[in-house]
Amino acid sequence: MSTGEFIGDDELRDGSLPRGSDAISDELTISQYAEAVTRAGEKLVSVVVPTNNDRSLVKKCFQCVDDAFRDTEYRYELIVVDDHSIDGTPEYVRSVQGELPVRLVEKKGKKGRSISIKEGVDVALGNAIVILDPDVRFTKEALVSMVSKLEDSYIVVASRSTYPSFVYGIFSRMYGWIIGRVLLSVNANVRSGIKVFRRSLLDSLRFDPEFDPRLGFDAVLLYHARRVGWPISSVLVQYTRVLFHHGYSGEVLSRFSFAYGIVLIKVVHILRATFPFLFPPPPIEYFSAGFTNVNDYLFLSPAQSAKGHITRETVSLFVIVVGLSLVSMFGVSRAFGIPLLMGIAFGISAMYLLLVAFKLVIMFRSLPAERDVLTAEDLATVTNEELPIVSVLIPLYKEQEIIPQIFRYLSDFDYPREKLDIIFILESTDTETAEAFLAMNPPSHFKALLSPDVQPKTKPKAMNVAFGAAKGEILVIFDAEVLPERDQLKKAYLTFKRHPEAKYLHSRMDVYNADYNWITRLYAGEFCYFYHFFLPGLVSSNYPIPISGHSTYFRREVIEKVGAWDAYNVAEDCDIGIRIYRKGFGSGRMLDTHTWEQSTTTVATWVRQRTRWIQGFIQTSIVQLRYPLLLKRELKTWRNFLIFLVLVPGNVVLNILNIVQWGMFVLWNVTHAPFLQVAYSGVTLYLATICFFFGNFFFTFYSMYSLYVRKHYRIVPWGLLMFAYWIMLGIATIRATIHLFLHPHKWDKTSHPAIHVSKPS
Amino acid sequence: MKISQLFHWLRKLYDSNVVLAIATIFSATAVLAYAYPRWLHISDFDGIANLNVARFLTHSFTPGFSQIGVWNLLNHMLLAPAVAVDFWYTTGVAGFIVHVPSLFLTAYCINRLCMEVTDDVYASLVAALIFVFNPYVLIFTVSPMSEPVFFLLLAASAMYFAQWVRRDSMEKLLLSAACIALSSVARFEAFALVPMGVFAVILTGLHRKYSWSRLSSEVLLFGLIACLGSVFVVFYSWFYTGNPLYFISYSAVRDTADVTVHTMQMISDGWWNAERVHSFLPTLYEALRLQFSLLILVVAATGMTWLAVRRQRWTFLMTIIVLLAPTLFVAASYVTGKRYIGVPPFYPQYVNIRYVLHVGVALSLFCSCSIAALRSSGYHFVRRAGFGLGIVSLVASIFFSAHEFYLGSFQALRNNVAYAGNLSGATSLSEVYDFGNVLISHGDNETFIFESHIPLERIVYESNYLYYMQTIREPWLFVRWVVLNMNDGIARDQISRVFFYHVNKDIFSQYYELVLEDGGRKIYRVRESVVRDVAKKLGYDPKLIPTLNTDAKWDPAKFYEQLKASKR
Repeated sequence: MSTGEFIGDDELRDGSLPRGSDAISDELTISQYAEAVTRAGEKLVSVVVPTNNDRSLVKKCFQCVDDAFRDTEYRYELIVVDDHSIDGTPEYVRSVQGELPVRLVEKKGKKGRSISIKEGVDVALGNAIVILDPDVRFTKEALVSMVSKLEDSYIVVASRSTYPSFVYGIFSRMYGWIIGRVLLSVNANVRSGIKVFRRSLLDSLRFDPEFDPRLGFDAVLLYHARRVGWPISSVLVQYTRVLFHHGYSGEVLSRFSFAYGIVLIKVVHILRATFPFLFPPPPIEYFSAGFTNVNDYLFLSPAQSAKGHITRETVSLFVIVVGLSLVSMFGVSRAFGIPLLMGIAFGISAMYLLLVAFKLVIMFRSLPAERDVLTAEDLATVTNEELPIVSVLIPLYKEQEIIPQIFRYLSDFDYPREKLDIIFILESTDTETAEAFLAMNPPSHFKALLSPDVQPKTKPKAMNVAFGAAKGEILVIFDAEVLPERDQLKKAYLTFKRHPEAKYLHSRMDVYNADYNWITRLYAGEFCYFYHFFLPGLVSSNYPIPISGHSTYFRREVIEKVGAWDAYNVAEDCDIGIRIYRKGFGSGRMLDTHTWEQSTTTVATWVRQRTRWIQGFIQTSIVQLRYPLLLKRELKTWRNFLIFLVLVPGNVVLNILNIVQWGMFVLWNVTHAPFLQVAYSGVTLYLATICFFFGNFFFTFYSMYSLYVRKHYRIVPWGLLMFAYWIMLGIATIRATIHLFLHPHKWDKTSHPAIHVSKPS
Repeated sequence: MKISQLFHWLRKLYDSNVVLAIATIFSATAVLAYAYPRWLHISDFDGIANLNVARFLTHSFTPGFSQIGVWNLLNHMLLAPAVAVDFWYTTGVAGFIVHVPSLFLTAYCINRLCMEVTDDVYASLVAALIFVFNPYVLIFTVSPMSEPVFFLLLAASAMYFAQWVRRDSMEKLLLSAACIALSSVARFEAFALVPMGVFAVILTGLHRKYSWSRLSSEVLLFGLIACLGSVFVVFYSWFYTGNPLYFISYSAVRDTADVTVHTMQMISDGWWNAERVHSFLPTLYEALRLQFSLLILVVAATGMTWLAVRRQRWTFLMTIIVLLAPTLFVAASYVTGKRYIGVPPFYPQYVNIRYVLHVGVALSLFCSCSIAALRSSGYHFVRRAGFGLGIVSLVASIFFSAHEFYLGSFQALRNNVAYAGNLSGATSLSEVYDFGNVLISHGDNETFIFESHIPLERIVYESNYLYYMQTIREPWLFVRWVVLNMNDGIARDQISRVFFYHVNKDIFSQYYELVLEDGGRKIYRVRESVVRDVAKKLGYDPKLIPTLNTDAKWDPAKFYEQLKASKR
């Protein structure tokens, strides 16, 4: 005997099982029945019958089914899903449960035939599932011939050979042709009252993002089958329907709702094809499976990672946004009779002004930002016993020169050794750093972990490798070149203790080689501004924020629930900050401590570093905006969504706009080009002027002021050169955009020569 | 209720801010009640100009910020919402609406400033009240003049500066700088605050033995903010007129030729004038005595002397540098004879003593020091004397200066020749004006415009630049009325082009008839039939000609093109 997928062992092992119309007794429950059938290798067929006030039909229907399987090799179960009937259908079904293998499913979902079928199919146990309308009457051979056909097909649809009347036949054929061939492109009678399919198809359906049973279960099934290439067979059988048993209006309504479902399927399909970013995939959390992926140490789904890079969702969204912007600008220019060039210039200037205004608002908000000041007395109250284990992750690559400095500050931490879980993550190919590590005779609580030689070779992958080995309740990452304050770990613990709602903590950054050369001075100005005015303002406002790549303290559960870092994102800190917020962990809290960081010292290293950061921002924008509506839903409010747009993609755009606006300004001064006179006239001129003078002034001033606040007095005047720094940022942004296409996942490591490592200035 | 209970209740209610608020509202309302029937609150030409310019922001042929021209914008912008209300504009009460809060805040800042220096609640309150009850301050408070806003910003910048000196809080220094920046767009005297403020910051830094890097960074941060206002004025003048120093010339006409003439005149005055140098201090004394009374000056002088031995003398000295900076500006302006702010002799032309009225903030501080000095004495009798001096100073400041004020020549302002001429001419125009656009020049026509009650949207003015320039060439196409100021004075420069183009030419007489000649003004009305005949003869559509169709809006860039296109 040939075996199909739905058919189990051929051999009958237990002859005592009921056959054909044998009833399921009270002692033998349906699951036991199914189990017994499976054990015996019987061929169990589940017949799903959706009913709605079909009391008069089901008796005959049951009889047809029972007759069909009587004296055959198949066993069947009848699953009646009753859609809130009031004519006694459920009572009747219950009354025959002692006579037939029938189950009554109490419907949970909304009304409708499709939902009924879906609920029936969900509880079906047979390898073959029959969808049967209760008004269908068929010959004894019909069902068995259809089920048998499943052995070489996936779906079998009954095709009618006779109709009760000529007119009805014409109408019914036309209807079926329009619905089936024209709309769904399926060569079968989609309106057929009997359909049989393999149960194994359900697993495939479940993973189809386009599957929506509300649109008509059997129609969607057929449509899906056509799309994925499952063979669909038609079997010509003699069957008929009990016509108009719900009245004429009921018949019309039934056909109309079926057609409506089909049209919806088609519309949804077109929408999905055109706007794929509107339809997010189901939330599949791969990382929940124990963080065991050792192929590339990515614990996120493809939709959440930069691994997929630029997908059709991104392209579609980009094209539509740019298209709509251009169309709207063109429309506005036509409607108000202003030149298109002026409209574009106005749009850019207005957006620029909004971004500037937003940043100013955030900075002003940072002034009264709550700051938990932790004194030495506060820290003295903490006992060693109560301190939790803290895992310190330190990814290293080609940084052998700086290892003595790391050992120095790690050994100097004001934290009990037995509570420290320090993990150095070394690349398996980086023997120099490994040798330098071993040469330092590391103490017992310093562990080294070799990151496997698999792609991608990035810092987040290294951290994902280490995450599995980390055992601390609190996690923190330190870059090789940073110098955290020695009481930072205790402060982090105390802040977590005082604020149980805080899921992660931000340290403030400063630069220890700030006064080395002009680029380190401007770098310090930027950092002091960001970590003393901008970040506290964002945190106090509880906005979604890109966090720092090091010196951020996490509760372990946070990293677990967000699926760790995206191994393919070159600015994993930015990405994880947004994902943490999407998971509902908020924007964290500021920690009363500083970490001293080393600035890059040459233009070349600075440009490389910024290129990577900005590239990561672009990657994060792409990943997070793959499904913008889902992002909005998870960020909770439109306000947060807009903030995200401003902070992540907006940041990149602002860098570009800086270049554009400065370029226009220079061009106008040099050439007095007429097209610029047109573009920047009227209100646009006011906007651009305000942006140019006040925007540049305030950001320059705030950079200088933040340097003053951090007591970098010697550097304050250098803040006047911040505009040059912004131009460099623009250049780095352009480079990052190019790199995005050429080297999307390449980790351009910033070199930190030990020569500049000294005491904080 | 027993009297002791009443005192107890009052004591609980007492709060210096409440006292200042009540005093401000009461005194300002009383002065308005006195000034309004006599029209004193808008007796100053500049006040009326402020009302007009502020209203032009919203009610103009071409409304918008360009209407402010090169004038200091802060007061106009504050007045703009108030003058948009017809009643407040036509009665001039808009100034009262805007400036009473300014006076209260000024008093608040003086109170806090004195507290920083003297640590004496009572003396600080009296000092603030001396300022609030000064009738000269009050008459400007109920007027649309820009002084009250300047007083506020001056007092606020001094208050924050004092707080910085005493507490070494950089935020306070930056707030002080921000007030200086704002005051620079309120009045030009504030320009002097920037260098003087920087000077005080340097002195304080040296006094505190700051490192050079810290001192330079503080000066830089302070200076960057403080000079924002003056830099803005320079850039704005540059942008608006093409001449960064245009604001000095006192002309709203966007015409570089005029600027050149003014600049030449100023330079020809020389860098200083010996006669003025010698007369400055006596003149200043006369002005201060007139405004604040001799007693207040004596009390203030005592306070200055006393401060030499006080603990907070550094705070005091640095604050005084800030407070007296505008006076240095005025002094420089006076002795050089330049028209930085157009300083005329102070006395006895009372209307212009406002240029040193800001000294009142410093005088209040001095008085506070005197009173606090006596009150802090260990002798019971002297403490009582301090209390008495406070009361006497307060009363004196009210009565002595009020006596001078109300019996002085202020009353005569309303009747001065120029003003009477304005009023007479304006009344005449309002009687004959029916409808249509009016071509009128800036200069001393402000009062004329205000009094004639012509809708400002109908006035073609220098600030409607393109329209104005087009109109003065062929006024008969655009305006039904032309007003020419025939008086000598500044206005001659403004109207000279109209003269130059038309008045003595036949074509002007052909299209316009002289309707009135009153108050030094000639008012012409268009001969509508002539314009209509000419339009008909040339085949132009009369609907496109604003003189004939007063509802027609024209685009200066396309007007002639459209007119030719309509030719039948």
